[in-house]
Amino acid sequence: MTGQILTAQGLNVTFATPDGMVRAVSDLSFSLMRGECLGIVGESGSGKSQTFLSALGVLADNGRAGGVVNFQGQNLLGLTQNALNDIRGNRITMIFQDALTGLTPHMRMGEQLTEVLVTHKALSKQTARARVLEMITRLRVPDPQQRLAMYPHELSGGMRQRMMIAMALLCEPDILIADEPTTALDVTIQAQVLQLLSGLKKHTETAIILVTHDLGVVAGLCERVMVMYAGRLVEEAPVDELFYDPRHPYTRGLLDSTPRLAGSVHAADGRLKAIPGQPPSLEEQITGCAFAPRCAGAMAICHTERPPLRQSGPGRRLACHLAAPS
Amino acid sequence: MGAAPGSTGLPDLLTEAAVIKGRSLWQDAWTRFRHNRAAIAGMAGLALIAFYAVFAPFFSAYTLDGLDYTYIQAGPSLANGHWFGTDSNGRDLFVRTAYGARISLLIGLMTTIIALSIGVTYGALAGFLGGRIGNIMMRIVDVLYALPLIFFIIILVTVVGRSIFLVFVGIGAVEWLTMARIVRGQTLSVKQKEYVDAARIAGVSSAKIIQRHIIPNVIGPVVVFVTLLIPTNILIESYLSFLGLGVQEPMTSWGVLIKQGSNNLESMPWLLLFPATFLALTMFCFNFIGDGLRDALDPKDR
Amino acid sequence: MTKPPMLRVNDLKVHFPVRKTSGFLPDRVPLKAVDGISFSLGAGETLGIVGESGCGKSTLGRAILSLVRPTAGRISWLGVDIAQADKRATRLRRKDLQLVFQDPLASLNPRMTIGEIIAEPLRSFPAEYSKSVRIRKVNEMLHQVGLSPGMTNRYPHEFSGGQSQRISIARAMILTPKLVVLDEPVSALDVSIQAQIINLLKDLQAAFDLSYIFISHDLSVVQHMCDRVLIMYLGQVVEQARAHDLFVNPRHPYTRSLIDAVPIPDPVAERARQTVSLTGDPPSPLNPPAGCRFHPRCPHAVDACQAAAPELETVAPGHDTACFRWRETL
Repeated sequence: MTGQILTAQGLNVTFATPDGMVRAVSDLSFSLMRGECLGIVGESGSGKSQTFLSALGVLADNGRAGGVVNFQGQNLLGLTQNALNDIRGNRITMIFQDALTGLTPHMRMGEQLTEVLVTHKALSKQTARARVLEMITRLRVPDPQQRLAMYPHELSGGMRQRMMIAMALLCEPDILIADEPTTALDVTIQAQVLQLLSGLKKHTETAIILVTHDLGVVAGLCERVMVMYAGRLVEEAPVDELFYDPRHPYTRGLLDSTPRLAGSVHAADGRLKAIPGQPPSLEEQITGCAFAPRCAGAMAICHTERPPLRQSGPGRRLACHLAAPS
Repeated sequence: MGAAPGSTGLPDLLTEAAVIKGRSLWQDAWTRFRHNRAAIAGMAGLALIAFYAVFAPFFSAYTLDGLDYTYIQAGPSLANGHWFGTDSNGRDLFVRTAYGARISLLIGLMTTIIALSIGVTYGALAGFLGGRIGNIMMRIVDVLYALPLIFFIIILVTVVGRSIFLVFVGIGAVEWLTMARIVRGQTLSVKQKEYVDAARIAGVSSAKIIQRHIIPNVIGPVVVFVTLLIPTNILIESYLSFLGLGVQEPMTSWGVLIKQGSNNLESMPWLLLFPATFLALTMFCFNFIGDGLRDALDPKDR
Repeated sequence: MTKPPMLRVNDLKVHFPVRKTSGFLPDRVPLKAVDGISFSLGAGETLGIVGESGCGKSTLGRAILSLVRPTAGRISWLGVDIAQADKRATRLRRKDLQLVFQDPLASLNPRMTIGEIIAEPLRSFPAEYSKSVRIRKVNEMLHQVGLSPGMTNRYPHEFSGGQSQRISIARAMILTPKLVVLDEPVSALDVSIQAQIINLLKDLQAAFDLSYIFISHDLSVVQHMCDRVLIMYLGQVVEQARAHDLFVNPRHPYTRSLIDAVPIPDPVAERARQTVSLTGDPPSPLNPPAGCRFHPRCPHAVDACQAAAPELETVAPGHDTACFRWRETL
């Protein structure tokens, strides 16, 4: 299909730990269109990060990935590290929550950034340097020459994040995966970075996969949203529909339990509608719907049979017995 | 007391009425350790060597310094009972190696205990007090570090005369320095942890903080260091014995035996071979155990 | 609030001497983490302290708990000055003032069982709490925070983030304090667990008639929890007001940019927003700008803002802001 640049079918990610086999991602399928911004929402243990770490072949040693992740006709899961090296940092890039660990501490920023271009695009150092300068100027880094001469730890958190984004964009990738890119940042800096990503959406063809737990961030940037719970997709919808017509109890629960800044509000009245309980441990085999123990509307079947993922409208998927046509 | 909290509803937890025994970090570490084959092999090896040290003389007909004139300078043989051979005086090497093992292992253990006691206390205090006093304490350690061990022991031996206790003191007096450094570093990092602040806020006194919060969390690297310190100390003792500064006759250690063996390398190679092999094997065992401990105690443990 | 304030903070300053250059005789520059803060807090009240990293809010919390010694200013608790109190008095006061930390796992000693952890504050006062009393109180507390009393022999790493924070809260509450400082208590937790813990904190506040100082950078949570809010920037208060007033009528440009920067989980509203995000990075507290500390990033700054530092002015009853131009900007 034209326009689809990344598809996944039946993706499974497991980790062998002393406590047992942890199923981080189970039977995940999705597709990503060229230039679109897809949001992946989930909490810790949802498997949202592991999905993309496995696609890029950077799982921990005790992790195994199965299924198909198709990028430009190739199954990423079957590629060797060498073949992946051509794609990583070049056609598919990733930025992380903590820029300090994503950047090499003993190399100046300029070196690290030019290295990307020299390696992947075989440019000369001078040309690479010029491109790097142009990129970070475009990303509104003040005193760009000075900043390039600094080490990562000398930069502020927001600046480091910008550098990481610059590094990820240098090769004009097809896909940028942003894993909780603003979670560790101050709220005003977060706003700057989100503006940056928004600009990226407008001016380039790069598709963005935004992995986050923050619903507000997703509302502002993404066109489509996938909600993950306990390693599975539970709901997928265009962004407006997800927020205004959430169908999965977990999605509804997330939206209800998030305190919001309303325009006019009476101070602190009543309690938040919290989702009781906590996410399941991924070591045990879960029978039925993983969310059932916490779901107010759980029926008998929810505890025994896992709800299949079904189309629930144009561009919508849902895994819930409650919404199934009886 | 007031109203109970509302529906935070954790049905799965509240139904567990029985008191559950928790799984401490030590237990986790032990489980990891058990799966490390090299470490277990090391423990087994040590156990065998210890067994040898204690019981071997009972199996042999010969004694530590009994002279067997029939078999002087005899090579190892199963037939005549001198399984490791004899030395130039006719003393049985099998038994002597066992006695040497006792002394060497004892020295390794005792010096390490001394280094441990002094080092942990000193290091924890220096780390906990911090500031000027802590700094001064560590500068003293630096100065002492610069003194050469050998001269120190030579002087001691010359002044006081040879004795096994001198060996303990000498080695222990030097090795505690490294221990203090390690413990001080660990204490500094633990001191900054939030649970130490939480303890202060809970009204816990400084002494109790060191006892309940600092020491248990500092022990990890210390334990690893200890398992690597014991073989080091055994080795130092053997250097000293080699130089003639170690244990006195009739006691013997692997160092002494190795010295005697190296003096007679061409004529009686077995005199060197057996004690040296035992020493090397002991070092291996301790090192495997130390590595295993480091791996077991490391992950997610801080 | 007709009751007299329990906590009064007057022009509090906490400066740390920081080595600027290395070498034998290093330059010491003071890091002015808290630089002149005043506020008061009554019984049963929740005061929110909002700011970003480097604003000094955590240091402020720690100073109130006597974990750091103030450089200047007064902190008075129930009429008694505690800023320069001696060790014994401070220890006794632990029964009144407590703290919940941001990172639940980091604040629990991994080598102690949670039963021991929660009981530890009681052991500091052995005369009053015998062993059987301690056991009973620990079990009661566990129940109140929604955990099973059967878990007392477990270790912190066996619990999830949300459960660990409950344990931390149990420990803070066991001496039945009057004031609890909550330092980013839900920031490290998953969203669905945050709501549970927020509800728990409110329930406990009602049950024990507690005052809270709620330190956070998350405005949405602050608005939900707090009666009054203080906005901090680089060690100083730039605006303080009742929560409702602050969010409906923010007067300081920094407050406004904070509010503007919060992403709203509402796609239509987000798209419609015309936000002017702040340029540049928050400056370092080692080298604060001259005059109004916010002026380099302020969209409304004029020359006067660089020349002098604005004092807090009253905008409305109970609502103060430190900005020369609060009347003109909207």
